[in-house]
Formats: sequence, C-alpha cells, structure tokens
Amino acid sequence: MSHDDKKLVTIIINTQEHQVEKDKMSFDEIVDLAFNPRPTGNDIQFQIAYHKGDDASKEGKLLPGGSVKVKNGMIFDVTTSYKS
Amino acid sequence: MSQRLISLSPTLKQLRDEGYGVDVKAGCLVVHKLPYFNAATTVCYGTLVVKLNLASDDKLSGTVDDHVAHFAGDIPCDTQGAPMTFLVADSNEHELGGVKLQHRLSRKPLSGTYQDYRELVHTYTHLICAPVESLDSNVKARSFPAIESTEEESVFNYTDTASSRAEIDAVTRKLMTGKVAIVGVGGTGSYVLDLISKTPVAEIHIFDGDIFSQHNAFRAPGAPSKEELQAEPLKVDYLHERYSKMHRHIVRHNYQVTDANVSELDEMSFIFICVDRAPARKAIVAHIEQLGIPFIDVGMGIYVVKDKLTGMVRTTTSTSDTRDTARIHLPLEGGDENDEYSTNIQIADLNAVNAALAVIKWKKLCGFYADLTSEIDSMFKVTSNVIINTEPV
Repeated sequence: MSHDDKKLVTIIINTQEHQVEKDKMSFDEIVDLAFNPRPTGNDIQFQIAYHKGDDASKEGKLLPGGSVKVKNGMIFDVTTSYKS
Repeated sequence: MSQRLISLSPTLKQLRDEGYGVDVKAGCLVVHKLPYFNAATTVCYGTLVVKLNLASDDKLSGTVDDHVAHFAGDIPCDTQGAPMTFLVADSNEHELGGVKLQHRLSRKPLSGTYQDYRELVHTYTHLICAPVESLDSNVKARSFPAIESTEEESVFNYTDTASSRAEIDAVTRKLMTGKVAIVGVGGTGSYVLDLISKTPVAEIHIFDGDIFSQHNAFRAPGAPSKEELQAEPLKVDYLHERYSKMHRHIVRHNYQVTDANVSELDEMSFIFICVDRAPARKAIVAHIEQLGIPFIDVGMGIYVVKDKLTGMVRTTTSTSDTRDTARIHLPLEGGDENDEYSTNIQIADLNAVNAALAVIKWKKLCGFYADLTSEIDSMFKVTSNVIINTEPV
C-alpha cells in the first residue's frame, strides 16, 4: 500500500454513518450526503455545524464554499433553519 | 406602591404611627433617618432596609422569612465609639429597595423567628439607635420624618419581587432598554414574549397577522381552553390577553411586517425576528441594518431520520459592528414551503429552547449576563446536546 492512499473514515451526518475515503470534504459534498440527491435549481440554504473533528478544527460551522478536514467519528449536522 | 402597603398592613402602619420614617419600595421596607453614633461619637443618620415576604403588593405574607436587615451607613457604635461588630454579618456594597447599602446585619430574637416586621424593626433600631438616644433626648429613631413619595411608573402590574429577593435589582435595571419588537409570535416568538414580558422593558411590540389555531396551542406557552380556541382569536390578541396581566405595555400589531410597513420598527431598541420564511426575514433585515438596530434572528431545522428526530436550533445575533459576518448565517433565500427539504417540523420544547437562548443572548447584550464568547451565531445540535458558537473574527 502506498502512503498516498487515503484512509476510509466514518463520519456521522444527521445521525447517519457514512464511510468516506477523503481527507477533506466540502460544504456541497456534505450536503449531498445528507440529502441524497440534493435538489438542483433551488436556492434553499443549508447550515452545517460539526464537532469531534480534527485537532486543528475540532468544532465549528462550515460555510458555503468552505471545506474541512474529516476525522473518524466526526459529527455533522446539516439543516435548514427557516422555521420559528 | 410606596405608602399603600403600609396603610393596608396593620404592623407596618403601626410602625409609621409610632414615628418611624417607613416606606416600601421594590418589595422592601425602608426605614429612613435612623440616628446612630459613628466611631467619633458623632451623630449620623442611616437607613435600614428589610426584604418583605409578600403575598401580593397589597398584603404581607404571614411570616418573616428572613431575619437579616440591611444598613446604609457606617457600622453603628456604642456610647464609647466602639463599633458594634457583633451586629454585622458582612460588609459589602449592595443595593435593595433602591438604597445603596454597606452592611448586612444579623440579629435573631430569642424565640428564633420574628413574629412580624414590627418586632424586627424595633429590635434592630433599638440596637442601632439606643446609644445616641440615651445621651441626647432630642434625637430619636421615631422622629416622624416626612417621606418623599418616590412612586415611579412601573411597567408591571405587580412588583418583580423575584429580583428584589435575589438582590439583583441593580442588574435587572440594565434591561430597561426601551421598546422591544417581536416579529412573529408563532412557536418561538410566543415563548420569547413569555420571557420578555417578565423584564422591565418599556414596551413590547408584537407583530403577527395569524389566527391562533388548535395546532398553535401545542407550540405556545400555557394552555388555552377549548372555548378559547373556538373563538379563533388572533395570535396577538390571545397572547396580549395573557401577558398583559403582568406587563402593562404590550402593543399589538395584527399584521405581518412587510416592505410596506417595516418603518414601524424604526423606534425599536431591539428586535427579535421569529418568522418562518426567508422573504419575511429579508424584508426586515435590510431595513433595520440601515437603521443600526441590533437584532436576533432565530430558526430551526428538524428532520426525521429512521423514526427519530434530529436537527439544529439557530440563534444569530446582529449588531452594528457585526452586520456582514452575521448576515452569512441568516437564511434570506429559498426554503419554499412546498420544498420537501425545507422541513416543517417544530416542537414546543425546541421553540422554547430557541426563545430562551435568544433572550439570554439579548440579556448579555444589555450587560445583565456576562458574555465570554460574544458569539454572533450559535447552533444547538439537538442529538449531540452541543452548542457550536461562531465568534466574530
């Protein structure tokens, strides 16, 4: 095995486990896993908050266009937040 | 409130008739102009304040539940100028009944509890004033001083004795910030109103054009009767009927805030945006940002995943120096009601949490609570029991 191979990492998105072979994931990639498939042609706005991440970015909010290092056991919540 | 309770209560009236300079303020009995010796055996005048155990603003409860008396002045001394430190429980600046105090005094009667406030006042004033009175018959604790009426217009129909009992009147005054608006009094907005109506803001303006229907009953504080629901009241009327029992200045606006009428928010010192759609938010945000009014916007997204609910509850805070960074977190586009991804689930407990987080944050901005994070956005993740804060850069 070459050391360029990425490890399989298990992350949790909206309480569901996903196995990904990635170092980093983008906002859109995470939304696509949360809502599969993601609706196109729609300007619905999602919010992503993560915790139990890598030491460099343990917890925070992932903004559109951004990406974050993934780690085993990292927990993502992906929701809209229109309702009161 | 000041002399009314005294007139209605036999024990307090007796104290006034005996010549004590008594007044009632913010749930406390204030005894003015008490003569005492300082360490130089000079005659000084102090004030004694006692927290009253009230059944209502017009009625003392049957018992004296706190034997401690609070004193404004130096530690009273005896005829030799020796401070009577045995009387003093602690000496820390604090405030009660609108009086700045320096000491807490503690003296229990032999029986263990004071029969009534008259016995308490007699006991303390005797200890404090007897040294002076014994040497100068012209100086008396019971001097029939004229008491200025300090009745200020309260926003409440009855006194906030929760604050006075906890001795946080001074901190609570920081919440007297003027007019507060709650735009949308559905789920979260109705819980915000429940909490804000317990604070001394000058006016609470509630905006909502909807009727209070049966399903709303399950996402609002309290519980209506079937008959109340059948009357199909407007949300603003239903809530006003309840909360105006406590707060006198709840102003109803039985319509939504739109581009056309958004200028009605101009006079507000603070705005809670509790709407459920992006267009409603958008109309308000642009306008109030221009006016420099700080606001908190709330929203949640809850989903069913394999038979259980999961989701997040958002509280976003925008002030004049965080407009751009806060706006990133506001859902100003999309989220059509027909869109299956835009969930319609809201639960009363989550509405309540969102409202509580919003009100706590508002209180931080007022200086009521300390704020160590100054976050502009917070996401409560329901299934992890974690709050993710976004601090300003």
